[in-house]
Amino acid sequence: MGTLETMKDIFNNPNKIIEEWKKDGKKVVGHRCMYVPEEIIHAAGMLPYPTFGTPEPIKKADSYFQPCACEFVRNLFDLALDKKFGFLDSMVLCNTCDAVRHLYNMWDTYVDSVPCYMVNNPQKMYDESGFKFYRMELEKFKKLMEDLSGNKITDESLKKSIELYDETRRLLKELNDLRKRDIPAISGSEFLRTSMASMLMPKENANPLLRKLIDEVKNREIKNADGPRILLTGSIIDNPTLIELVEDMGGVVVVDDLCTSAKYFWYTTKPNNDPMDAIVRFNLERTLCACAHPSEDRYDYLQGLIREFNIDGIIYFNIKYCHPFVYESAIFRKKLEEEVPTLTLEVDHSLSGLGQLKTRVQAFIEML
Amino acid sequence: MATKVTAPGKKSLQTTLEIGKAIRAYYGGIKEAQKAGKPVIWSYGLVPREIFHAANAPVIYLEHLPLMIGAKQLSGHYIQIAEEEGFSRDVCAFHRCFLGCAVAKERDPYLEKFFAPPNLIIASNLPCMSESKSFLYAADHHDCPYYFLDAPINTWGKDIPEYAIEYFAGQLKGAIDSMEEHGFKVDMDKLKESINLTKKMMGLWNEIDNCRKTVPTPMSTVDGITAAYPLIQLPGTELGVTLFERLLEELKERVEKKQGVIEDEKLRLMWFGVPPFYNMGLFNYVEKYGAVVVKSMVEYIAGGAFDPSVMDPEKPLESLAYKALVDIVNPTYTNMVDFIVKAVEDFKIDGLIGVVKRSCGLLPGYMRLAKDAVYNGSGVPMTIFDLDGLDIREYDDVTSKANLDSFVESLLANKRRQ
Amino acid sequence: MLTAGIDAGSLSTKVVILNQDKIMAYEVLSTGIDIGAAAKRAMDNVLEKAGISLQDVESIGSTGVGKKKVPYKSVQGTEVVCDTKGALYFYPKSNGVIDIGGENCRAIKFDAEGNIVDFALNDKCASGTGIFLDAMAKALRVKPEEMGKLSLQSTEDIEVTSMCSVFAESEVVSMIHRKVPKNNILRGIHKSIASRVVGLANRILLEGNVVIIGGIAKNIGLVTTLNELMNSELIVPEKPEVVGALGAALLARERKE
Repeated sequence: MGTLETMKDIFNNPNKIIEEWKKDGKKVVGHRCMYVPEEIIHAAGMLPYPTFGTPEPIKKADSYFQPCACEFVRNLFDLALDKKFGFLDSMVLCNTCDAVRHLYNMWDTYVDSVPCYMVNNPQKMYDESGFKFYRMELEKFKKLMEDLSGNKITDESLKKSIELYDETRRLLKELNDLRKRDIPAISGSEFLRTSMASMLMPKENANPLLRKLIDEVKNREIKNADGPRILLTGSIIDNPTLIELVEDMGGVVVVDDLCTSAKYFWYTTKPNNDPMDAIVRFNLERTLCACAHPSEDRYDYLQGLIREFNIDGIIYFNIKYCHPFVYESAIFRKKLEEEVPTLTLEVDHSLSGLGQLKTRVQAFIEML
Repeated sequence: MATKVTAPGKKSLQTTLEIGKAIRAYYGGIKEAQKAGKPVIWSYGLVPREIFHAANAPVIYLEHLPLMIGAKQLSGHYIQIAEEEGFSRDVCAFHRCFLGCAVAKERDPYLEKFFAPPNLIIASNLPCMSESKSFLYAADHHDCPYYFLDAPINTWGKDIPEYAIEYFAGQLKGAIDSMEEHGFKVDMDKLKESINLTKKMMGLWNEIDNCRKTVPTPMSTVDGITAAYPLIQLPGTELGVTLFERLLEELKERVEKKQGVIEDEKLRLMWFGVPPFYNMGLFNYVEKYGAVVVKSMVEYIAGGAFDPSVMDPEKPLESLAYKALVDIVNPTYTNMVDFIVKAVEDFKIDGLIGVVKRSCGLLPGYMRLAKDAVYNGSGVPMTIFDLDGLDIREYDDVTSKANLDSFVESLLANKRRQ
Repeated sequence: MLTAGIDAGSLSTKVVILNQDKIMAYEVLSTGIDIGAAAKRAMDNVLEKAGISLQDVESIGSTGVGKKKVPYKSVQGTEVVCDTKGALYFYPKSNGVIDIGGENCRAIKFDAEGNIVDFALNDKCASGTGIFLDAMAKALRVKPEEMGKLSLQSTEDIEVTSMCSVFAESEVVSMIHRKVPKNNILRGIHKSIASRVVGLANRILLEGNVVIIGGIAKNIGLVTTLNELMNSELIVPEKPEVVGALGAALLARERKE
């Protein structure tokens, strides 16, 4: 089996990772959103587990959230109510959007089996006083992780974890660079599966696999690479179906500015003797999510991607009721349009209504 | 169609009519001030306005303008304009409406009276983090300087840690610096003095609230929502204090005479969510059952549930930071839900009406939590249904009234059984 | 004491005569365009069936969307209150009702003492109601009363994804053109309605002994689908369409006492 297949297999069966990890009695900490530093969880000897949703329709969660709450968050809560996250020893959320804040309140109130914690983070980047605030919050979080695991987190162990996670980011970026070519070495949907599998796996396992994969595909050329080159951005997309839809319509997805892809690995930590400070700055010296300020930062970053990846068209996939990306796409739209055609699509996280979506994507790609 | 079924609310107090006039006078004066060369600020409703008063700066709050034109049923038109600019129906109708007003090529004469373009925008993620970027669009459009004031979410309840106060006070200092950079002079002595005035005003508000706990209630939410306006616009001003003094006097008189809003008060209700600003008469609708909506959650936004004694004029920024961070809409379970549970008990509420404005990222998330906490705590039921308080295009009179009828009748039926 | 209850619905009008605790007679007929006339006709018929005259009736209760147009002096009650009373009359141990009417749908929850704890009404959208099902029957050219049974003979699960009844109708027409078997389409339609109803029931976390009422409760296909989706055993009364009218009669009696 090729490594691409291995990655797909891991993506399809993340439970195996958990079983393997838990065999020795080690703990798993679920988290959502980028301001929860995985390195701190890892340095305490636990597995940080990024929680993703499923395309299943929402059942019980609708009795708790109103239907106007972000569908991804409702989906996560549905899974939690259904005890699908029962393997977690704790859940950690952060301060990214109102929907995630509500998820914290709901989880804390209605899900007894898995305790939930919230890391408070500033939403304003590049602000020294914000660094100080976040540092205080992270110190509390670090203590919590020490208590949960029973392991002390030292500067040395934290530095090692940072190094390990940075290596994963570097490798994913190296793999992603193979999509810059005129004929990419790996398709958009293949890449998303790989990147999500790498996020789920212990990085000790992910890194050798990624190295092997880069070696295997570096001379590869995907089929159907004649179409327009597409940059995907928007809310969290945790299922390759939408990317496959673009690919089926003839688009060549060459880079995805998503939580499940580029946002995860685009930057690495700057060298710093104080590992906690390194983490603070890693998260607050850039605007990666539409929820954070200033926005100009994200605009510059998107522009960079347009040039680096030779983009012909941008597609915003905004999950219904994802307020941060609705604002961002409306604010950026005119400016982006001056560079490349931009299509904003409202999508259901449960992937219903794909027929209509298909028609719009098709029209967009034909136009390009 | 909807315009025919809506009605303005029937107010019953003299002072709230005066407050209504004060609102229009304030906004009417902004345009004049700008003409006379004064720069104008645009801001969101929970940015501590004491810093603006300390600079004598005229301010337009994003939440206010839509309310004023919403009451005249003009909001739909401007919401439409924002939607044409790419802001989908998923995001807040208030923000869409304001953006529509901000970028409209032509404005209604009524709106024109209150509208003045910004010289500085001070945005914040308090109370609505999801909507915190809407002003960016307006800043771009008017080519105007922009400061973002970051408020950490309150995960601590009433015990806000030092480092969080320090962070937010620093943000306030940043806002002041930005004001000074753009032609405003912030008088720090005046700011300290304003803390005293705020303390006084908040104290009066708490006394007003105590009067309203009386059975029969001397003041319903129809007056209450207008009466809460000074909480947003006038903390730190003499006018705010005077208005509340007068209101308190009027209420005390009524309490003494045992004069209620309605004659035979059978049911006391509380409203949770955005009120129907284009149809405030809906509050009066339930009066035919002998029911009165005593209180509405929005009257507590901007410090309405706040103990002012902790404010210290010698530490103005820290005091304002504390007041802002413990606000009920800076979301944490303890702030919002525990507060509602207590209010239901204090005001002797029989039923809670929760309305979901689908474009709101903040309040709908509390509905279930409040409902369960209130029911488990005191057995008081809560009904929840869809109602967009600003966007009249979404209003469905038949369904809204069917929900109110069903709820009030079931409360009465339950009462009869006991 | 003799009391009467009228349920003036948008599609059908129901009247029940109650003698103390006993149902003496009932009548169900279609409302047509004149709600008042339909109520009068139904009342005349039911009085004849019971062998009594209007003067014998001590008090009348009314409910339903047309309750204000009923040509009798009556005690008016919302469907939420009347459905609850009616359901508890038949099933004192029940703790909830699902009522699917012509244009409306509601879910009600009550406690052991019969206090109404919670309820949810549908919005103005017609999907998930009787009128929607009738429109689909017309599009598919099947008799409304046979739809349910046919849907259970489906061979494949298909989805009607449009939530809006107008779009759903065109979706169904296109399925007919694509020669999708009727039974499968019917199953899809029933699932679509059921999921709306379950959505309402979920909003108030309705479970346990739930009674389903309204004419649609006779549709075996819908009840089966609802049971599947809710993981429940809904209780179907013998005459599900008259439960609301019975509740109105009970309301009239209570007020008289």
